[in-house]
Amino acid sequence: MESKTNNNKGTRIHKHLKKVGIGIILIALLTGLIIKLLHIEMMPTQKAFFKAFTMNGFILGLLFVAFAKEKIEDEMIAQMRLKAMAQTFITAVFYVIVKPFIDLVFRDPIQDVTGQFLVLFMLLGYLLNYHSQKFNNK
Amino acid sequence: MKNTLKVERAKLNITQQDLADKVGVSRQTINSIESEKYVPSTLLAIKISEIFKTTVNDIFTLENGD
Repeated sequence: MESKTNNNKGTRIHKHLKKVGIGIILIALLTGLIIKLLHIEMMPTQKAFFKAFTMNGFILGLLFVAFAKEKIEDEMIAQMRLKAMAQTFITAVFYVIVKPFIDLVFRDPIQDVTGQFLVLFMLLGYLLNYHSQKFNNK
Repeated sequence: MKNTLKVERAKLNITQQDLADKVGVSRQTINSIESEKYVPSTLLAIKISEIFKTTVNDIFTLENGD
């Protein structure tokens, strides 16, 4: 149900896509686990393909879960989403700034934060923040 | 911001879910407003006051520091 007291309607996807997202995450995780546990011999190109498949599948699944509509998408939910997004964005900026210094102290050499990792970090951070707010407002 | 939502609800003998259905939000939102964790928008405040046939100021009042 789309509440009329919610002005933020542009960034939501259909609620049924949440289940699709969970399915994609499970498939991606299972693929990654099977390859890792069975020690399947692969060419470097195949290995890169499955790594990309697992990571991108996980990201796509998280995207669906994060932005699928709630049963009742009202103004409080919109405010919680906005707060979670803002806090996650600020945390991600600080993470990118601080990470080279952590690398410098604990490991050598300094590694750049990849786009994939940053997106994954932000999606997980957003979900964690959003659901903790929802839990506190129950 | 303080509110008398719980009292008004008791006067009409309606549940949080009933009120939520009438104004088109979730029960959790009504609960959060009652426990003063969430301040509703003007639109929602007006809708709530219309249900109780009173003014917004009668239900929602500012506190010191608001």
